[in-house]
Amino acid sequence: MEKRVVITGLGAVTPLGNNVRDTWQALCAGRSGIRNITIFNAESFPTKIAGEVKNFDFNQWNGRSAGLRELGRNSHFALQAVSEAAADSGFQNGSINPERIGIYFGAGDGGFNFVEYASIVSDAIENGDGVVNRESYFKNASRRLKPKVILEQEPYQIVNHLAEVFNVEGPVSNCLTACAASSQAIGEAAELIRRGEADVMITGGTHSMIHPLGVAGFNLLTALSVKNESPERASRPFDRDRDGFVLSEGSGVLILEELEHAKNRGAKIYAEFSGYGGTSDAFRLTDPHPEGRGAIQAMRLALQDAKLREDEIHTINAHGTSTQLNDQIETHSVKEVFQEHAKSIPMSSIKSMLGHMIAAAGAVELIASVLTIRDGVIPPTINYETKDEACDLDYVPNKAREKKVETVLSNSFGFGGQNIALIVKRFKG
Amino acid sequence: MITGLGAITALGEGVTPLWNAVLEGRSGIGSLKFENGWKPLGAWIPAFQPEKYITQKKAIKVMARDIQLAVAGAALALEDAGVKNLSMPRGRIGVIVGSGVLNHELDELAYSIQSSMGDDGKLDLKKFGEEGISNLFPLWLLKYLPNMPACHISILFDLQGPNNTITTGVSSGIQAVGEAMRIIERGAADLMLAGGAESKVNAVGLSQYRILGMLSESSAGDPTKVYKPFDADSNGLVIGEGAGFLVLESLEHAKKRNAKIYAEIVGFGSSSASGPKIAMRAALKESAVLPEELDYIQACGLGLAKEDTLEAEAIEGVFNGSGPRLRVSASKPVMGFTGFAAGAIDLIISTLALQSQTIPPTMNFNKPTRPWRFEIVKGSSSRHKIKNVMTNTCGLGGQSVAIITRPYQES
Repeated sequence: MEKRVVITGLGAVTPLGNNVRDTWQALCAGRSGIRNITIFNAESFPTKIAGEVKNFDFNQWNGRSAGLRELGRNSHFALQAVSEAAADSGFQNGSINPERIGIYFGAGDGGFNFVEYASIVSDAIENGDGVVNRESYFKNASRRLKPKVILEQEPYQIVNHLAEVFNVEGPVSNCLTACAASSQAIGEAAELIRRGEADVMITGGTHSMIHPLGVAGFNLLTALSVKNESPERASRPFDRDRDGFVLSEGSGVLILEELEHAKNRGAKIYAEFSGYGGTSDAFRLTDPHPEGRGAIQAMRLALQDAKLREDEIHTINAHGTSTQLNDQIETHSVKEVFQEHAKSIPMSSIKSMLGHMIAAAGAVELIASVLTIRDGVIPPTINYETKDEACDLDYVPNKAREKKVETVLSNSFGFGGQNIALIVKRFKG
Repeated sequence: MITGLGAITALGEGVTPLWNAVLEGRSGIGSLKFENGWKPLGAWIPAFQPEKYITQKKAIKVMARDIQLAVAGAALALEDAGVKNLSMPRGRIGVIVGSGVLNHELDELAYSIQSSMGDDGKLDLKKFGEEGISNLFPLWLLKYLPNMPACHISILFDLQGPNNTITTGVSSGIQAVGEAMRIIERGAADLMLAGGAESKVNAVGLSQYRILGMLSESSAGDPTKVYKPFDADSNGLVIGEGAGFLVLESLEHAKKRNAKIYAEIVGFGSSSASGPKIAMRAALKESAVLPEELDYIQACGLGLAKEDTLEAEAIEGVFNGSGPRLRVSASKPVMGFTGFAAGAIDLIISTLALQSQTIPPTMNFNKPTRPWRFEIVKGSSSRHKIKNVMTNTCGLGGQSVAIITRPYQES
């Protein structure tokens, strides 16, 4: 019989708090973590707002190596979140064989110092004609850039740091499927446990694209909200006046564990991981398929995997990015899958408060889903003011709702057409 | 089941020119030619024509060279497997690509940067916001997102099944193959395309390896003799570009359409950067192959003294002299170090070794740093009866992966 997978630990660093408790309280209170950008001078950028992690001081971290301090934001967020999740789960007592612990992460690419980089490029430009002399660039860069800066751009480095610090020797992987990455990582981590390749998986994601090239790149694609005058009201999924997503950053981590293993060591069990579906739109680079082809199929596969009927899903944690197309097509897809039940399933988007943490988004959303089951509270979609005719479901507008919830579906759809649907349910012996 | 192979490397298009060069110990490494007479060493594909594989000019414009190579490698593999136009449910075909950070093209950034420089010679972010951003190509970001190779491939070949992008450094491409196998095993797809692509044979990529102290600085003599995995005189990486893709298929599906079967993947192990032994042992365990039953290892053999020693020690540790007949060779001097593609290309080579029962030599290998209790194959290729073959990928901080393949036998 296939092994069952449960969730035994949670960790988070988000624009709403540097741990799970603070983040969850803020989500239930309907607070926004979006402010003006402070990480770099964005005053002349089309978008000047983002969801930054605040008051995060890595020097306070109980890490073991001073070398870790020099790492990028991506790594720091992940080290902190895994640390919280590991302590929460209590697996870090050395009693588990390191070869039975694995990592499957959805870590994003690390940023780099654009200002320094630009001056290296600029120094290699010849005759003001905008053509870079390759050899001059090669020589300048070789002299001026540090190895750590190069290495920390690569997502696999983050996973290495985690494996080393948390003594992991089992299966290790990292996927980067844009906005779906950490959800996909969680799904694949669960599959590793089901197959018996690991007893414990550290999974989730970490990302920060709040750097000049990240904001510029998304601005050029006109994907970001430009409601700069009211940062806290800029992310407004499903509202008629939504104008794009708000970029944010952070990390979300879940400890997945094989059920018998968790029971044997008397671990606290938050919920059971029960369904995973993944598909591709195979349509366009930025736009979702107009009929929601891939999204619909991903949700159906997750339901099949969880052996649940459409009427057995109690709430949906939406991808809900606050872009015109996503919210409309997600709504359409949910209606297609759940038919007459769709209107009675509350579906909220916590991106209204957190913004879009890109690779890390799905993991934090699954954490919220797990806590919805534990506490019987569905966090709201804030900034929902004006109805859009194309978005006509129950989005839990503006105020959290108390409701006993047994099952949650969480959607993540990535730029480029990767669709992931995950289902968690209340754990019953 | 492996039912299709596709590669594009400095040796040419397809796996045949690559395999012939591997057998003959012939290298595609040479002096690259940049403007102003800069001639670093590398293995690039000057004749590569993306428009041969991608008919839409607009699509080519939004693809970094790594992505163009990925599409070409994927097309070649699908063609080889005879499934390019196969009518089957599109939701049952997926793709996993090994990828990572893709380098920006310098000229594309230069114009924008130039318009944003302050009087102090530093980038002025205010000017960048005002003018610099609009001087960038509007779809600039899309050109370099790590998941775009898999997205373009899914769109061009209409693959609506599972879609993933693995970013585990040097092992990305082969980890993608291992994960694709798992997806077929659990019934989530009938056919998966998996592999990797990279192009860092450019000023940005070369400078990165130099900053890391890994680039071969050798410039005198024959460029094809510089790259020397496992050799006592090894002196660093020579960078190549390319793509390697494999078509994996469930046995049932392959049989139903009478596919040619190259080999069966019987073991896959993965661990962290420090765990090459664990990965190899996990692959052995899954395949139920005893160490003394393994005939041949296609090694990573990066050509860096420290990394090669770690790999050789790991091989020795796992096989513990148990196989005096264990032969090991590495092929990177042929096509250069191809990064995210490297592990997948090595798996293609070991699959062809199995198919032709021929072990290729390690080009440029003369004498080991110290005696190992296994044979590093040098000189010329030779025919052997080989059954169990391991492809090993580790080093450079990437995760460790081992895959074991075997000829398919009807049971």
